[in-house]
Amino acid sequence: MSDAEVMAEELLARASLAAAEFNQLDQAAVDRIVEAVARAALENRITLARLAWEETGKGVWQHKVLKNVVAALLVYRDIRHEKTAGVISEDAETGIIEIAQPLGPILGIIPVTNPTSTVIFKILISLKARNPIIISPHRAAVECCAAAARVCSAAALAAGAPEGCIQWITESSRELTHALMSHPRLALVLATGGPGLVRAAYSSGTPAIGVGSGNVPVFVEKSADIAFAVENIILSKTFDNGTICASEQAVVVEEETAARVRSEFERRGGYFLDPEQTVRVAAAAVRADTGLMNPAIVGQSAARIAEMAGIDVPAGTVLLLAPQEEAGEEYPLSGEILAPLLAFYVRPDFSAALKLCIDLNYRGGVGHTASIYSENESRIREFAELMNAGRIVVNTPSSQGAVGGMFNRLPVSFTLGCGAGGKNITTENITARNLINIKRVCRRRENREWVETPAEKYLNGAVGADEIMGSGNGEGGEADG
Amino acid sequence: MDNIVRCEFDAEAGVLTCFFRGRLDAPASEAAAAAVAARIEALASPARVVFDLGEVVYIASAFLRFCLLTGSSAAAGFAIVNTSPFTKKVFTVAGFDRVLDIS
Repeated sequence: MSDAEVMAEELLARASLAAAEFNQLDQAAVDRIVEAVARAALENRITLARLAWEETGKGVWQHKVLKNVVAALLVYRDIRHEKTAGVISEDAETGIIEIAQPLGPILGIIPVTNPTSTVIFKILISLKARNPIIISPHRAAVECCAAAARVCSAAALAAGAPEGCIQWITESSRELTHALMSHPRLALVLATGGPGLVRAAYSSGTPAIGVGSGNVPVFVEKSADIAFAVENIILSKTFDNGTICASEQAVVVEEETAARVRSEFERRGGYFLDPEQTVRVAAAAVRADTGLMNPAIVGQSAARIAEMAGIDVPAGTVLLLAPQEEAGEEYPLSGEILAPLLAFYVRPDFSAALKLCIDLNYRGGVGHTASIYSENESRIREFAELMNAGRIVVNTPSSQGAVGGMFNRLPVSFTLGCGAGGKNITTENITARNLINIKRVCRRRENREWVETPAEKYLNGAVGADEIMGSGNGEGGEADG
Repeated sequence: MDNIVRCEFDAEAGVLTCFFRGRLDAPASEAAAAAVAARIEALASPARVVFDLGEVVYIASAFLRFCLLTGSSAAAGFAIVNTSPFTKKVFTVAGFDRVLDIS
């Protein structure tokens, strides 16, 4: 066995013992542990945020504090009343009792963009579901993730959690991650990261919930309160220097309101690049060999990105906007860039704008998130019908809106399911309930139509579908009474 | 020692049987491990070690580790007997049903 395989074996051996002990805890015991971990994480929110910022060199430390608060406080409040142990529902009419069963050891893969908050989040939802978790951080965020996991682990153990229920990797390597992902004792990979990593998780043979890239179009439809829309887009896109995968990537406006939108951005520190500057920024922001964003600009400020691109921008610039004609590979800024840099599109009318949003949505962000500002309900619904996104956020900053809990009632989550389009099994905001198996005890409740219809009727080729289904709505005939 | 009722040595059969009860949480597991180790050490020759878990209601990961260690160090064999369905599942979830003699 290689060193990585030996380490994976040791980690999973400990996790398996923790899983065995975890199985015996009841809901009250689990809830005590989860509350203790949430409190400890909240207590350490500033220290952990500063560690994450110092180690990764990405984002804004004050915003990382807020992310830690969302991960500890809002996630805790969202899941605290959820039943995740023992009988979770009982329906006398259907005769079905649902019983929660833990999955087993989970591997939590942590991105460089939101390290400590994602550690806190994944630990809370895993423990709530009585699953041990092994934290596997991005190699540029090992120390801060270890610190966050240590804080959570100490609190969990003091509250009665099984030893080994939270483990973390202190030397991240691709070999170890792969050895863990494909280990037969691992129950689930909870992966957040780049497309390569998420693909590896799905190829490992272990069940996986993987969330990769988004490419969020934000359509400022002409009926929108434009000043409000721009204010919110800036709030969202500059938050932690744009490191949230649900942040807006391209603004789409109709010609009629384009000048007003542009002026509102400029009033608030948005800087529109000229064509030459756009080329320079694109070269700095997107790798020519892969067409993907350059990791070096992720989470950097607008001023720093301008500096990296060798262009001058006015003092007070908080956001760069690059006017673009189309979406596609030949337009590198039309893809996902986790930094305060937005593509900007103008279209003659609603229909053309909507078609462009579809193009942007399908350029690397299928299933993730789409955003619209509008006061026109039918326009909002048409947009929602056509976007392939797990979340369509309306009149809301996309970063915060998609995460849930702040501007809407979506479950609070740092792992956003992207459905089949994103190679996920679900479009939900992943939370504790996604980390349990539900057993269903099914009492006998006969389907009268089925039981009372002689099988001969179905075996008789002379009997047609109309006679079997009835001529009405197909929900059964006489047997329904 | 609350969690070990008793250890009995059958010299003729060469079997040391340890009876446990109650919640074998982490502190109880450590105490049990020390007591059993002392008992094994006091034997003149290697014995087959048997853990009777008939009255056990909770098993911490520390006790699971202790079982694993005992299983690998007991030269004359090791078995866990008299498990309840509840404790049997704990051993199964831990994957011990494949490496230890459990009934």
